[in-house]
Amino acid sequence: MNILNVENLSFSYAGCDKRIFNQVSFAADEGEILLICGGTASGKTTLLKCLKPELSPYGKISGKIMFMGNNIENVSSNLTTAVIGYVMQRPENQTVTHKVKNELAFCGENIGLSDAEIKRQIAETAAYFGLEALLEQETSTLSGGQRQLLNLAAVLTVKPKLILLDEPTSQLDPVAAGNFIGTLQRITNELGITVIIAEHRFEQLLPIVDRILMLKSDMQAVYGSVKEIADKMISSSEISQSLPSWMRLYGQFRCKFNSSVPITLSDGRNFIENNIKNDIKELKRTDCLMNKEIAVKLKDICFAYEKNKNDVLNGVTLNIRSQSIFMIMGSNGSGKSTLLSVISGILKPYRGKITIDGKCIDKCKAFGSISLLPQDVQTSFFCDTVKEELNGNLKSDIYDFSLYADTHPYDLSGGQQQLLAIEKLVNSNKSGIFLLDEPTKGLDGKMRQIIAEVVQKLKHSGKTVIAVTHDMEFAAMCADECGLLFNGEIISVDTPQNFFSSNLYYTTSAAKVSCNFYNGICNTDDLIKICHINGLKGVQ
Amino acid sequence: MKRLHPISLFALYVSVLASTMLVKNPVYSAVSLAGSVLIFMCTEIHSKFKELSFYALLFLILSVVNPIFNHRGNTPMFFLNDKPVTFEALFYGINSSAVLLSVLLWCRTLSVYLTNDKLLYIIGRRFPKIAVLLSMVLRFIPDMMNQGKKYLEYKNVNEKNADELGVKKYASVFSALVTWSLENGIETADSMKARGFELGAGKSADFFSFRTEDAVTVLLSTVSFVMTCTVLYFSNVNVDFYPNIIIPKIGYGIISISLILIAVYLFPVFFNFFIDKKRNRIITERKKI
Repeated sequence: MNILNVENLSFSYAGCDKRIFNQVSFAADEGEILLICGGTASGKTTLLKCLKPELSPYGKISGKIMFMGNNIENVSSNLTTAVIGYVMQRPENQTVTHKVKNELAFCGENIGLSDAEIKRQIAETAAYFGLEALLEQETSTLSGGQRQLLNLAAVLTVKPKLILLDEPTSQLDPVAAGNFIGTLQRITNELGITVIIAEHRFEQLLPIVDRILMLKSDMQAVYGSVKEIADKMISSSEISQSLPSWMRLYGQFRCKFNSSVPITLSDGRNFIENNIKNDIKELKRTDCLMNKEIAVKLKDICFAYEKNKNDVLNGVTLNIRSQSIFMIMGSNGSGKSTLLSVISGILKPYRGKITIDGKCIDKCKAFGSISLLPQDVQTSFFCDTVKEELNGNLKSDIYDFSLYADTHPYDLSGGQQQLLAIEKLVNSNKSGIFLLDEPTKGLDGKMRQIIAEVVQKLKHSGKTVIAVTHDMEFAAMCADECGLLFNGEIISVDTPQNFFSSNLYYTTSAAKVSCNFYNGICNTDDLIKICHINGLKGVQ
Repeated sequence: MKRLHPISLFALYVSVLASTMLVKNPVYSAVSLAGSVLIFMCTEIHSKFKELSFYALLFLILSVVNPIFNHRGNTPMFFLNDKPVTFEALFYGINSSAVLLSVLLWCRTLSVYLTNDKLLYIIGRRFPKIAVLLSMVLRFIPDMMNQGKKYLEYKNVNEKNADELGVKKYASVFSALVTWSLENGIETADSMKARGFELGAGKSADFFSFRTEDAVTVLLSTVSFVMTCTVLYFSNVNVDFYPNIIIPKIGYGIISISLILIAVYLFPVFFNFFIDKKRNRIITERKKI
């Protein structure tokens, strides 16, 4: 059954003639997942908001939105509230009430359901999403992943037909994001709900979506099945870097032959096996870390938050060389951020020694040489304009903020906020050690690339970088060494090449697709390079 | 008490607090004080005895303060600075501090039993929008505290060399927090709008069930309140303190309202006690098998 039919939709904000998007047409059937993709500021959010009458932005809208056969303007607001759900990016901003059960009741209360109905829907929804144990909990105690699941569940209590999601997983770690996307697939399959999602985590999404709408920077939009649009996504400079390795590899060789775009991992592996030689197994590496001196030395660090709970850090021993990039990975709650706090001196370990540049931080105030980029970069903004944040130094080799001098930091895109925070740290103190907590959280592939370059620049300007990240593609791009934090210890410290090719789960799409064909390939650039060196099969 | 429906909890406390403050009779004050201490001991407050000894100290101080400063009354016990310290004033002090203390203790236990949820339920029956607002505040405060802590940590690590005075540091953190909350509040508002807050069907969901014991509690509380008012109107139960203590003859009035007050608070205590006991018995029986 057709749920949504959009014809020639155009929109421009009030007081501005420039159209955000122009003549967009698409449709979504019952139980389908429609992916909306596009670069930053391509109008994804605006488009989604146009589809939800309650949030419809002020401006000039033309075209037709048909919802279940009726023009959406004529559908009563009682109905649209219930049947069209909307979930946004930051999970914590969307929770309204203080307890989980009140949050689940909120929608039903507003549309005037009876107590019995509300109770039944809470019961059903909580059971479906496994939230029963959390019902009595305060919402502020939930993790990001739990909160986002709650936001989705809260919308689902009133039996929607269509759910609109605006980058719902960007603030979640990969495991929570994977679970969330899995849940989306479940609700479409089992409940027949239509999902329209704007997102840039393509690797997990592409195999499950039915149709794609791509918004291009020139305001044109293309719409079609995954196979049709995937090809166009590869050639888009805005999107291609967020795609999994095999699709980008395909893009490099596309003109040479006619095979369809590999969408899943196995498609990608077949593509390499059938098309590319593997005579040369490895890339030559030149840089060597061994001759650099040690900048940060942790010895047997133990830390616990509460008396009767297990130690969060239990004997962390780690040597980090100066002018290198060290990436710490690990699952949620494994203590990664705690470790950074301990190194930065916010938390004090009950055992062990931290030495920075040969000085023990217990005895002298060596903290001065450390900068910490918090996970939530908004906590580093204290001023009203970018200019004030940077004390007037708008131009630097990191990023040129001249265009945004009088912009409020909150009005920058997520990636720019991240860069501003880094720039501010570089500006404000001349420290040699940078601790970065999830610097690529919520960013798309293009921005990730820029951040990776910035981190490299920091290293080349003589800084030591220690980063905690969930983003394995990012680690593979720029790390000199990687370590896994597990059970309170750092294990398997290794170069990214060895680290990712010997891991099964903690690994990148490039390592997964090249495994058994080539050795030590962990990022897309290396993959493309080695494939170019090897050349195509059947071509002399 | 913890099992009571918000409505019956509310009724109980209104009746107990009102009558404690209205009736000026040592017998009645003692009954109320005994009840508040009993209920206080039934709560699951951490270090109850420590808190109770603080209240006891408060009781002593308040009782002594009145005769020191108030010299009315015809029966001087001794003279302090040429001023009489009278028995009447001491007696009045003891009585009024008993009232004050029992009100304090009743309120203390009310803050334990009237959880946020129950409070919101009571407000939400009549003012649903205010209930949502309160619930939002309850969600927002811990979130904001967390965020504030993060701002401070940032300052402590990255700007430790900056010559910012303590006050200035906190001021800039506070200003940043305000910006943060306003910015992110827009998204919360959108989320509320998207979920139909503006439709204003307005009604908070009922998560509590009204059971027999609630009906009994409401009935007892109402009877107690009505009887107190009647007794106060028709007979003289209030004690006169100055210049001489005149205690009215102990009549049916004061006895009956004291008894019903005892019933009001003892009923939920015993009810809860027996339910708990049965619960534990069944659990242990199951474990034996």
